[in-house]
Amino acid sequence: MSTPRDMPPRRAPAQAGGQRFGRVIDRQPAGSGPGRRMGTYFVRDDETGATCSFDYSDIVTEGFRTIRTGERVRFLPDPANSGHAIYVIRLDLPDIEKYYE
Amino acid sequence: MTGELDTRLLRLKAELDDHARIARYLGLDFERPIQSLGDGYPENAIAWVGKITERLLKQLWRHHNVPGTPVGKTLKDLISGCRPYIRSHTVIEALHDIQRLRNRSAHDGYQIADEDGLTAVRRLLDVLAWYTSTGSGALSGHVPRLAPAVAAKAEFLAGLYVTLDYRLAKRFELSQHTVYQLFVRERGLRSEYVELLLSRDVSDVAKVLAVTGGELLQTRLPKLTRFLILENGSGEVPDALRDDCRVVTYDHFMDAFVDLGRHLADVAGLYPRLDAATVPVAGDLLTADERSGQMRITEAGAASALLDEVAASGGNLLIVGRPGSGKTTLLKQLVTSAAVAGARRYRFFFDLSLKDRAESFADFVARTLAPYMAVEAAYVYPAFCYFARAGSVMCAVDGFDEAVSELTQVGFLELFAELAEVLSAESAVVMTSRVSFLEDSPQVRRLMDGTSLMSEKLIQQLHAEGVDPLRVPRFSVLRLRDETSGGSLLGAQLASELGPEGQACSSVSGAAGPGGPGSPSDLDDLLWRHITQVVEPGLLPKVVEVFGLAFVRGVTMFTFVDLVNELGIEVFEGGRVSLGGFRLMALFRPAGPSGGWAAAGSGGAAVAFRHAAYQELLAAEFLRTAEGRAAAVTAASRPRLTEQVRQFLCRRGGDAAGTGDCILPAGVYVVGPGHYLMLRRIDRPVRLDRFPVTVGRYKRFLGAVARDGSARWDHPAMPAGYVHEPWRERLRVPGYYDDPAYDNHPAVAVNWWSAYAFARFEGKRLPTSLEWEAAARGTDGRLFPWGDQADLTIVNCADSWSDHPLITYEAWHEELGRGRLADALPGSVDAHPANVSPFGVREMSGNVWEFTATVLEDLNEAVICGGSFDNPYRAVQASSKGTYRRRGASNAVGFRCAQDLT
Repeated sequence: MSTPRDMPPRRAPAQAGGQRFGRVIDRQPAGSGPGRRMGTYFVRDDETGATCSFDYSDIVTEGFRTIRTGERVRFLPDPANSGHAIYVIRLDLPDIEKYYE
Repeated sequence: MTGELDTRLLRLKAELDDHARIARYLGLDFERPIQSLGDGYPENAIAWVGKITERLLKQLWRHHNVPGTPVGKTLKDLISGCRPYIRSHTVIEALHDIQRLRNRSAHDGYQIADEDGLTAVRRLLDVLAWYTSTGSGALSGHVPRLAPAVAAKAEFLAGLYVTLDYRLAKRFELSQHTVYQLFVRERGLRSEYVELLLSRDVSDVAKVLAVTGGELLQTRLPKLTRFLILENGSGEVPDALRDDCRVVTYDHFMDAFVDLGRHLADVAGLYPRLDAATVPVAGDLLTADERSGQMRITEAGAASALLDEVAASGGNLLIVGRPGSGKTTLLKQLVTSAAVAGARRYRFFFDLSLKDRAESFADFVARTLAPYMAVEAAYVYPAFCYFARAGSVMCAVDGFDEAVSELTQVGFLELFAELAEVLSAESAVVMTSRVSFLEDSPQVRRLMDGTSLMSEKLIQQLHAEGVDPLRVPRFSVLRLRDETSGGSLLGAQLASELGPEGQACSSVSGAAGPGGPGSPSDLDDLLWRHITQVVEPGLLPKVVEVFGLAFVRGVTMFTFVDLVNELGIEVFEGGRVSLGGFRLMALFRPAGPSGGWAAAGSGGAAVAFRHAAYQELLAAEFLRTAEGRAAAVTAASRPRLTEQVRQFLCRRGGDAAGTGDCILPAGVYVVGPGHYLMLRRIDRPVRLDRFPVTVGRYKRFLGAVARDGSARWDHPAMPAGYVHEPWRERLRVPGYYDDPAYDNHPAVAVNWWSAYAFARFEGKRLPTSLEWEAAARGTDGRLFPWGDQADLTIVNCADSWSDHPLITYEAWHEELGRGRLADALPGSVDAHPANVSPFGVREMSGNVWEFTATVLEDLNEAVICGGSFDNPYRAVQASSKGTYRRRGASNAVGFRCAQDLT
């Protein structure tokens, strides 16, 4: 059981391979298509400036999987695939009220 | 310099001289601020006080190895960095006062008065008093003499008295294990003194007194309270201390301030009483997965055992469960448990359902604890916070979700910010809440876990509320299971209280569902039977209206005056307005200003339902009718509902039986996800398409466009160059629009502009997201178009393409990796006859998301509803929503049309 005292820092150091923060800078327009080809997104790490790619299945959500260019996300560098991001979480979704305006 | 100022300056100078050792050690000049004031430059005095304060904090920073260097830090940053090591609220306030005064004096255009300078010095003295009392030679330059454990206890005691507005007047370290502290505070013209002699044991005290010849205690100070505080309580107390000195052990010193035994006895005695029959409750212990942010079960078992385990380890915990699942009883068992008493001697219980929405948490705590604390009312909350921040305290906060000003993230944050004072690293906080509000809200869930990421918006809100996001404590979650072999605690208690009628009710319902007596499936029956047993039939409609409407207005406590005004004097036996005379008392509990009837007169007394579920059921009953729902929504009020109200409403059914004509009548509807349920009005009736637009229908549109063009149907803002052909390269099935086998499948891979034009082509429009959801949920706010029950056989979702439920993201991802979801596709729109809403609208859950007319202009995205073949079951609810760019074309997004009726 973790106690408040051993709470890890919110932002892990870059070299630790922990949580990273960044902004989606580009999206390949290709769709899934009959060959199951999936569109590719690119995220730039806020701190290091490095760019990682990910696909729609790396977006952590139970809902519709898409991300806008310019969106802020949290992600993890893929330890098995350098330059690839996994566990991409969208940070600033609209307020619920907006869906009903 | 005026004579009065002169006198005050001399007094301050004398007090500063008491801290000369610190000045020497840190190379500070305490003369400068006094001299500046005397010369008529209060702004300079403030600047000097600021510099001295910075120096003190830098020393503290280095002493505690705060990460980073204090060099070059602003006073604000230094306070922020050192704050975790300053337990006294008073000292923190003093530091902030100094910071504010310095900011103001440095700002052109502000007049700085002598009084400001004097205040700065006064606040510096508060800081110095605490600084001196820390007993650390590294900080003050004092030769270390006290044993570290004694020094820490002396610091705790000094901090407590500083919190109570005393200042340290004298401090003598008499031996390695004995320290003398004298505190004083002014009350008008009167001074009050407290003398504390802290020692390891009486033999050490006796030695010290022998050496000093007893001179130490020869003081003749007025209003003196004298304590001898012993680490080890055994032994004969010296004669010199026997008469006018209270002798206590350090571990029991707080007993001088709080009557814990009485507090806990009162807690145990109020509803739900702990001596009532209980049933075992099972639970799952969850922690947030740091990668995905989703909750994972780390342990399962008896809830009480899991709770004791967390309590013993000192972690913070959130207990979530449905109403009646036993949260309050578990919490009460925890705070009154002897096992917990060993680790956390001081336990406080707060029933937040008795907190007035307009009342601050501080006022509520003061009101709740004042009868048990031996300090003036104004100091109840500061003293409580001091104890909480200093550790050894457990705060049990019951019904967190019932105390927020509004059921939104903002409302939660407001209360969280108020609680931040208590949520220090050294206190243990155990809170309870409904599942729906805290655990189901992703943003709030992240807030409850300090290791998880928070959005920038959340961080900004935390800062705005004065909460440092980096200091947010981590909470584990104990989720109580809905159904156990014994059923819910509330249900079991009700079944027992109701006698044969209750047993019959629960056995009938129990036979129909998996739960035992009092399971969620029959809780509403039991509650309703209890209500109808207590309330006379003639009064029942009024009771439903008054308390149901009160609930949606956020009113959960009722004074006797309220009851008489709303229900009539008849609700009091013989017109006698008193506790004993209240005819409906069996449904209620006391909620008066003092928390008890005995101390409350009839005028100020109030009652609340004995359990929130009673009023929620009355609210659901009230909302069953169109008139009730209309009355609940006014121009000034857009109420929010709890998930329990929605469940009760769905169980008991709305008033509009399914018509099957796909017409959504004007009226008020329950919409929104479980943690954000709203009542929203639809002004005009509308007919929705029975099915999503099919490929066949869309091809007819394409034919018309090919013949005549689309200009007359196009949206005026549609960018030039758009065509309405589907994005064929993107289609998972290349022949989707060519093979007639797909004619009855939903039209997909078309963008929002095309969906808009198609609707106009058919003389219709796209439904708004509100209309779409209301048409799916009916008047009872059901989760799915067909009801509240999950049924994988009637919906096209990711789970139905797999052989097991895809509860988590990882489960979905693994299944995708195995290729099993590669075959998932949209299906025929009439494949699931049972996937039908109360109004006869088909296939709204799953298959494909549907574009709506609702657009988020700032994002240039449209709201999509209902989930698709690509999403797990949880995302194909009637409330499921997302946004998609208007030019986007996806295999998982289609649409349907709507038509206004006049």
